Amino acid sequence: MIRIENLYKSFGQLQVLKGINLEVPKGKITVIVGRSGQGKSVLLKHIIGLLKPDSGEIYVDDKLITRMSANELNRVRRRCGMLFQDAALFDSMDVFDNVSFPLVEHTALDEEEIAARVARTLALVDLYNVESKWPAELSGGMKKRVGLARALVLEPEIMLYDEPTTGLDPITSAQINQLIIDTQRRLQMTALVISHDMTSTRQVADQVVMLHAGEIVEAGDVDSFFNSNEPAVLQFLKGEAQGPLGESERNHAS
Amino acid sequence: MTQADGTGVRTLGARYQELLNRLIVGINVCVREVGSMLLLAGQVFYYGLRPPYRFAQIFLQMRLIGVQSLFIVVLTGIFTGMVFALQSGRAFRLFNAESLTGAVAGLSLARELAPVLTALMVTARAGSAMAAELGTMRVTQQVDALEAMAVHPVNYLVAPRVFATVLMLPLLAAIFNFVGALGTYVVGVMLLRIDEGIFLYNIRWYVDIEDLVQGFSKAICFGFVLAVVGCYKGLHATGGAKGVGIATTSAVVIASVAILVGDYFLTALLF
Repeated sequence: MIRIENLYKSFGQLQVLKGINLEVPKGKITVIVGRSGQGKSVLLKHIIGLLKPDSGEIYVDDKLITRMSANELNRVRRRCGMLFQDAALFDSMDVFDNVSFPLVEHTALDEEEIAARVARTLALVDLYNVESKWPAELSGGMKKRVGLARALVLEPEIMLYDEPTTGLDPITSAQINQLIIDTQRRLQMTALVISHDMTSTRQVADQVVMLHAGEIVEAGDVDSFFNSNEPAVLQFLKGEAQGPLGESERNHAS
Repeated sequence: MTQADGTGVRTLGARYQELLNRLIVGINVCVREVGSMLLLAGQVFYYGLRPPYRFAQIFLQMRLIGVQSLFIVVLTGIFTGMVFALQSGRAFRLFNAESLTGAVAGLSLARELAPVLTALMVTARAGSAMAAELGTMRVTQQVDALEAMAVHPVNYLVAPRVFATVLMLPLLAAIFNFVGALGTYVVGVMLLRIDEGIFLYNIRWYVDIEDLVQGFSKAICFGFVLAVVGCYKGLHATGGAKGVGIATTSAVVIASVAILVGDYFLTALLF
């Protein structure tokens, strides 16, 4: 379980997170939705310790990660997997080396076992015979799937997805969504997904949290979110240009 | 005239104030940059000298930084030696001391030219590559991915590059020394017709092992500086392709200036 208490973060003058309180339940998929630039990715980066908050605490399984030493933090990170927005594959390595990287770094498996596990994980994301390809040779959807395989190869307990379906065609998106659901069920992992894709949110979410201008405007299970009467949520669901979100965007800019 | 009238004095004062403020901001930025670089230099030892050890990475970088710089170092070395012999040979001839050409060139190469010019060439070739490569990794979130996978970027990316540069630079400087001396010989003996025996005897007589040690010690220091600066600038790149370009340029400029300035102080303080 991940618990976030009173999280504040600014970059220079710009206040990005303004007192986030959130519980991500164990073994469930929580989707964070919201417009671009509202602090969703920043929140995710805090959970894996890539950013340090100005104030506030984050607990992963009741361990306070915001004040950990680098070594302690790395122990927590080994139980997490993260899919980055543009996959963030190492472009100096081929697909095999990318996917096997966490295994080589954190396990004592021999070469055969590593090769078998890489092939198995790539098959899981529906990729075959791509081990010797370079990231530059892959399409956007394939990159995401290789990134997903790299994140899943250690079978993490916690999985963080930063916009897993953004920029993908509807069919690949649906496949990725199915993968998120399948792997979560199979490994009983705690998953946190950032998305502004409402179709995929409805498909994968157990719980939905809406973030706007650095604050949580709505949080609840998936049904209550899609039936919410909160004006901001209604505007977001309907995709309307006018409304509380648009206005506060203007205020935010000025 | 402006001073006679009150507003003039105030605007002049305001202008000085603004200049002073800018100066303070500039110094502030400089101090912070240097501080962060020193911090990274410390981290290289902290994270680089503890497991997991990155021997494969170090060897890979030794090839990229050392072996692949060989051609350019040989080329610059030969021509540096040749032009040095040409200039000093002609100057010495004015007072019939051209037999000293070899000794002077040998001393200059060993103490100054080999370490400094090798370091500058490696900065241009490998230091810039470090900044560009790590900068691209930073702006495409590959460095974040590395951290998210519980691998410290200093341990995996920075330390191998710094160790490889520190190991390779004295070797490259030695090669520079050798081919530089060869260039001096070609011009001195073959072109300026200096007596071969005296030329070689003078090199051996004047150039001591201490001179070579001085040059190699400098090369080690310069290697450390250029690699730390290159990696620091890369890791702190922001804002896409433009940011990577800026990081690469400033890595080369800062490292080159640091090498030339550092050379003076190293010579003055240590030797």
